[in-house]
Amino acid sequence: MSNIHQEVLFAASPSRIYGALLDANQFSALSGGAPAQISGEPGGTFSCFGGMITGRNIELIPDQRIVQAWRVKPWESGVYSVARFELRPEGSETRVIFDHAGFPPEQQEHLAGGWHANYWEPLRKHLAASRI
Amino acid sequence: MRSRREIIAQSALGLGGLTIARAESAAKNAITTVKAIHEELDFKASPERIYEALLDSKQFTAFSDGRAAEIHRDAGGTFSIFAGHIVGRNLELIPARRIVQAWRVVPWPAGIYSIARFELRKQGSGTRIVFDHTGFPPELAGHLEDGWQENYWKPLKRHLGG
Repeated sequence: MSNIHQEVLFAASPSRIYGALLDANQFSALSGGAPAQISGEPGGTFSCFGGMITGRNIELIPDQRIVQAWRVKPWESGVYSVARFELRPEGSETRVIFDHAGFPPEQQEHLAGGWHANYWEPLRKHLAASRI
Repeated sequence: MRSRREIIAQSALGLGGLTIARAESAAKNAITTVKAIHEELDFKASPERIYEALLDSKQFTAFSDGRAAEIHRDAGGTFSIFAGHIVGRNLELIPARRIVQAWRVVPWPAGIYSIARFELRKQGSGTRIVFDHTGFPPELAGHLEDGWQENYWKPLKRHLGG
């Protein structure tokens, strides 16, 4: 298998999760202060984790869906994967249904762990800390 | 139903001199490992002409039998080709060298995109296209392989005169 499918439940609204993933200040904060630049426009570019991850927004539906062309700096030039975040409200919570496809297959295990360590866990902490 | 192995074998035969690097390992590992298409094709035309034909709306419409193509020329811009059957967005464009596109067939589930990458390598007065397609629904590999041949490479070659 060379696709990653993960589902993660967050105690926050889709709108807060959408905002945290696409707002450069929030993303930088949740990733321990690593510089992030993120366009909020379809077709716009992003760079996060201090430039380790770069890419371009493919499709954005506010509070519902983020699809990004996503690459890690050392990958062969021109190689992109597709990261898709579907945000589904469940009561007062949100289920993030995440699919990652098209990456170099030998990276699967590394990437699957990376989404938890570098996205879901810090995002959960960030959302809890910024809850009013 | 045909097995993946049969589909690969048949399409490999049908593609003549094309290199399908994944076919061998796919045949060994059976169905679920086929998730990428790799093809290398030689054209007589220059990288500049191929780059233009793939990104120019008029040329693309012409070589796809008049099916409407609207292609934005900037990185991040959208495209719609084969009369709206294929849509997507340019991810990276390096003139006469590289085109990377987020590429989807309209009936695919919403939000699903694959990555199509065309590397244009100058070879004498011609060009080798090194093509990689990844991230598509895996059960479509055989169908898509045939599609690249029938809807891109053959008509493009006719359009360019070789």
